[in-house]
Amino acid sequence: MEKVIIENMDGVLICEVPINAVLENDSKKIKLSTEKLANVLSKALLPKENIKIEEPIHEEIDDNYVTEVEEQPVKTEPIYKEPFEETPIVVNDSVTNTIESSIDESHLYGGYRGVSSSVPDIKSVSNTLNVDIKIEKIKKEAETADKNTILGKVLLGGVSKIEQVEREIDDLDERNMKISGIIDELMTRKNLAQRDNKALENEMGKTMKIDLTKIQDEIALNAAKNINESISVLEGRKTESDKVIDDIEEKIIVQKQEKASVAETKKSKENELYEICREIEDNKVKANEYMKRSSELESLKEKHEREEEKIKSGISELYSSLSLIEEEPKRVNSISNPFDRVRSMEEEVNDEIELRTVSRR
Amino acid sequence: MKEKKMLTITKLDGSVETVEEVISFEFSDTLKRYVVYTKNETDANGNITVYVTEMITDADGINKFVGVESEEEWSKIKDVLRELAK
Repeated sequence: MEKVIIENMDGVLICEVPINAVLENDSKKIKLSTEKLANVLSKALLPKENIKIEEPIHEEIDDNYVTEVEEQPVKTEPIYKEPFEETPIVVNDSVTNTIESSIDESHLYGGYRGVSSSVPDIKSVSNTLNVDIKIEKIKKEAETADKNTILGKVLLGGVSKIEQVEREIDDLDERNMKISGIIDELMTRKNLAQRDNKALENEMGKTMKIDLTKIQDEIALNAAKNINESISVLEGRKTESDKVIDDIEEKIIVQKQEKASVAETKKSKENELYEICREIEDNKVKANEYMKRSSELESLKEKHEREEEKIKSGISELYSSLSLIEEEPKRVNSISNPFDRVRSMEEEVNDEIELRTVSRR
Repeated sequence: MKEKKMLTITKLDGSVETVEEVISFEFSDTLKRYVVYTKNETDANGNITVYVTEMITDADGINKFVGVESEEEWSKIKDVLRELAK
């Protein structure tokens, strides 16, 4: 007989069994999805190798994987003849419809099947802050803004920040929806478990345990024993059912806490978005002011340059004037002495006489 | 790939049924052996019913499927199945 130890499973050994057997008592029944059955089979197909199971078996037990359907109570009739009639529990249609699909789902947390419309929308915070309109406006402005200007840079940088936070918020929304899906499923399972529980209670209420010491007749004693055993089985199932409901309730609480935490994070992200918008608005004002001043400075500079040109040309003219003035004094200075002037005049006269004489000749 | 292992079960009324073995295992502390088998019955949701029973071999060497004795035992078996189903 081949055996293999499954690690961390308190010494469970996979083994081979003979191919013939006699059925003495009814076997227990459970249902497995095809995927889970395939997983079990795959373990059976590897008999000579250790099968490593990392996590302790008492964690992450998902009742959807192994759905107990109809255990065989000892020599009693099936309990669920018509549980719906016996236990009229108010379950609305939408919940009932989800029950089948949720049981059908092989993995509870792997993917929720849609999200009901009853999932609270935590986006309302955003509307309160009126952020959406602001963001839309900023994005439009960024589209048309000149990227080379300071305003354009402010807007584009702001939009990039906004988009980053928006992505984070989308992720949170997705997470929130997932959690809502899980809660919906858990609620459905809880309803189902409560209905089963109620059915068990009703069944238990029909018969009381019989005091065997008061029965003398052997046949009656056997019948009474059977009844008592049936009741014991029912009690066991009831205890298990109570435990299942408690487990589900615990899971629901955990998921609700997670949902609240997601909502809180989203609220803080939306506040962040609001702050970013405000910052962008402030920066826009500053950028506009800067650009206005810059433009004023530019025109002042141009004006200054024009005036500088004028001054330069004035100076140039002035220099020209000055050079004329400089030459004149030289000439004036040269005849400033009166004797010299007389001499000069005599020379001029003499020159003229001489010229006239020469011309007469 | 390993072929399907078929088991032949003889009921107390003498009728014989052939079923497919899914897996068999043994608890090393109690040395009890259990057989998980299926008749490949599928429900509306596509889930397959599997059966679990303890197997003993009596003094005459006859193998017997004797069901599951207690709730505690059944609970333990379900834990194993859950783990194997992962």
